[in-house]
Amino acid sequence: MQSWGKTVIKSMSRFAKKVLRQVQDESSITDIGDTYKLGHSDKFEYAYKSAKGISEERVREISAMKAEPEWMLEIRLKALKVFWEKELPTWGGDMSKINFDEIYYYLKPLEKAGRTWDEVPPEIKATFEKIGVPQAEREALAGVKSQYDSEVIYGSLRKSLADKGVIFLGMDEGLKQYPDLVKEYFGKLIPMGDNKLAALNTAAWSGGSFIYVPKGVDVGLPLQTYFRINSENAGQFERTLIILDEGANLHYIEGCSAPSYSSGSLHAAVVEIFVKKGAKMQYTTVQNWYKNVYNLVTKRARVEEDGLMRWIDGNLGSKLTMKYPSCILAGRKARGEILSIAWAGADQHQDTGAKMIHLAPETTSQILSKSISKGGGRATYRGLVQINKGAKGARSKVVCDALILDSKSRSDTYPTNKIMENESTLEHEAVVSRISEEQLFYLMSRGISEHEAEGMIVNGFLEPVMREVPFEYAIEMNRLVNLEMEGSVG
Amino acid sequence: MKTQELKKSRTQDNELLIIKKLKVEVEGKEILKGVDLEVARGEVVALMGPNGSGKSSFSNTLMGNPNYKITEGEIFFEGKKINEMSPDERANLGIFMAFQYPVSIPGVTVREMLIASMRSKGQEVKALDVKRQVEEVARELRIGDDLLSRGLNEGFSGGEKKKMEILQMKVLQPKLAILDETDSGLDMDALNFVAYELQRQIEQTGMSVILITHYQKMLSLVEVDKVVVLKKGLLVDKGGKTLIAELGKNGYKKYE
Amino acid sequence: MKKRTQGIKNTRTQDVERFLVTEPGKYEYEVIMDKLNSEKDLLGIIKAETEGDYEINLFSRHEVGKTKCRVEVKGIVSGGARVKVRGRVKIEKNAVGSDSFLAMKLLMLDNRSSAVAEPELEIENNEVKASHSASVGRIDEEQLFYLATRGVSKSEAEKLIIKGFLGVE
Repeated sequence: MQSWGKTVIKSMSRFAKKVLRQVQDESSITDIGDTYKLGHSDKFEYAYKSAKGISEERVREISAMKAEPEWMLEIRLKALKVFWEKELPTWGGDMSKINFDEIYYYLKPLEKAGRTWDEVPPEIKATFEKIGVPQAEREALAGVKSQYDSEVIYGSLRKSLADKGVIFLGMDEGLKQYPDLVKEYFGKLIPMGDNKLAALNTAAWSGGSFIYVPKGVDVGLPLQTYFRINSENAGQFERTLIILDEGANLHYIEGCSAPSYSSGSLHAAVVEIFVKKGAKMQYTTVQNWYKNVYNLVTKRARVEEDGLMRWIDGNLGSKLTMKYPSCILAGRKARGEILSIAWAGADQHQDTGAKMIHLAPETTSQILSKSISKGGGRATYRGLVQINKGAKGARSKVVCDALILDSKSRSDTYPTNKIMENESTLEHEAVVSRISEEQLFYLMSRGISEHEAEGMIVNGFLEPVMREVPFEYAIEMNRLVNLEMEGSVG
Repeated sequence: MKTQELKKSRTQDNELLIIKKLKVEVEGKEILKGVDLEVARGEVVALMGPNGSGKSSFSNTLMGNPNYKITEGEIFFEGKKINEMSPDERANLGIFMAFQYPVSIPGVTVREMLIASMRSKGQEVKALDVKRQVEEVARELRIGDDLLSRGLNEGFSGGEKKKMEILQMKVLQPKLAILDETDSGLDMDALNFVAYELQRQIEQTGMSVILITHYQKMLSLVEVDKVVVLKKGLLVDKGGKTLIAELGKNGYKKYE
Repeated sequence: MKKRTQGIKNTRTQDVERFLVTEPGKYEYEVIMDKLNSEKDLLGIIKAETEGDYEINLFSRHEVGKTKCRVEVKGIVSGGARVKVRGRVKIEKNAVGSDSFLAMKLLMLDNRSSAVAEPELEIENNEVKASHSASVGRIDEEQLFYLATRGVSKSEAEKLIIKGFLGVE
């Protein structure tokens, strides 16, 4: 019991550089057999686990469990129909093995169950050791039972935010406490018809973050998924909604670079972000799901006049990730930036990219994508830059570089650039290369071993994006890259 | 000015580097055809010769560049045969090469690299100490601060790259420094203080140097003990400082 | 409507193939590098100046090693033209030591037209050099100004600049 309380403090202080007093924890988060780990406080008196597969009945059950307003249930049911009607995309990664009927769409914690530390695969344990994850946190990340959440620690953070008028809740809570606000924005940027997985998420969503930042407020410290009460660390169908009012400023961090276990094999999250006039938003994701996970995410931001949206995306894990953060640059001088890293190792396919849609004049966008493939992995960049007629003075620059480390691996680049406005400029560059022998020889001539030199060169390749990732994550990511280079991580 | 202790009689023990009948092939073509050379501790050897004579092949082979294959002969460093050693092993023994065309390594600063170099020797180094040292040497060499935080050699001018090589030499303090045409690409001022810094290091640490130069000027700024001339893969002449002036006047014609 | 250029032959020596598109339609150009140690350049000019859809698909595939291919397309888009240029470079597993370059540069001259540029890369082995670039923009204002200070009218200046850009009349 005690240890989880300490864990939460440690992790908070590690990531947020803020030390909070140790407190007795109360709630329990446990996971269930072969399904994903879901965190809830012990407000619920009974345990519940839905049957497999998705159906109208299931959706009604979910909505009822959460005691949602009628309009949300309606949205869910409509979305379910859309999900059934739609086909999976024919492009992108191989999704043929996903069996939608085999998935548990909703579950709540049971008292016992969940795997023990002994059941955690040895290579995951070894990685934690090597990249320096504190002992107590390892269990949390590895999906081991008996993790706890601390109501009181979270409570003090919540209070300081509340004083500023900032709302930071789990999505479920957000819907309960601010239904009108949620109704105004939910699904407006990513409608259920957007794609099959967005429809699924709209029907079965659970968990995620709901954030509202009032006019002119600078949140100060980065908000993280860790901080949320009821932290659902491995939510399959997380739904996040972030609204930044005019002039607001927020940095939100999601994920973790340490390998994260999830027995839930399908993650189909949806993130909608509204950046109002003059507001600045940075959304940093570092994902390192274990290799059984399909990570299919739809993320979109709408940026108004003078607003700035930055997506920083680190994709290290999962079996298949399909994720194309986008910015709709709707107001004059709106700016979008997407900086991403993708690592595709053996049996991995990272199909990632970015989308920028310029609707208004003088909008600017920058995409910087760095990908690495090794050991038979496949890294694919898929991007879209669209400059609509009327977006006079729009400028866009895309750089996508790929490093292929051996002859087994593969890299693809599929960018689309649609220009309908002649008073605009677009630049796009892509280079595919490998670690040059010259660079290796040079570093070795300075006494650095071949392996270490490779690691340095690879990290140097990633540096322009890494420097935008918060310090602690960057250190872990660097170490992870070095490990992967040695081939000692499975 | 050299101190007498560094110039001992030439016994095997004093020879830092011994090269015996070295034959080297590059891309299937024989470039070095049997070179013998000895370099004593604290000795400065000028390696001269016309373009294409094999000077760069010589230095690359010493450093262990895998593209250069030794087909015959041996290289001994401090009595150890190093033919089979990898470049990093040789560096850890105390061999350093200032490249003729230093490659750029995006995203890796000179400081990061030097910390890794020193640690691989087993030295305990504190990042902050290295940072200070690098900044100090950079000042001595008139290298701008901004170059220290950029990716090594990325976007550097030719002269800046060459000075960066010398900075590394000063920080790593090797036993043998091979300078491959370090002077080409330096303007007069830079040449003067690079030569000055080189001379200082030789005197303070007893470092040996193989100086491959492009311009005669460098040879007048550094105390040279021995001059060897390479032509078409063979050493065709050996002499003292006077040889420099002679070559300066008559070029390499006499070796036709 | 599909138009094909004259077949592109593979020869052992470096050769340069050029194409010119001036009418709406669908065009396909394929360069297959299947001879060891060969080099080929494909240079194309697009003058899309009338209303219509222009679709240009370029495909360069390296099947064997040490092949070098350079594809460069330059175009001007005006008069209601809708231009789509898709360039795919594929380097197969066995094509070790290949060198591939693809560049697309489109100048948009008026507000009635549109351009879509899709440069693609599919690389299946790592001992290669492969890069591509694409840019879409309009005539540089500075260049127009410079010529104006030399007494050249705007329309004349544009003609000069385009000529310089395309390398043809």
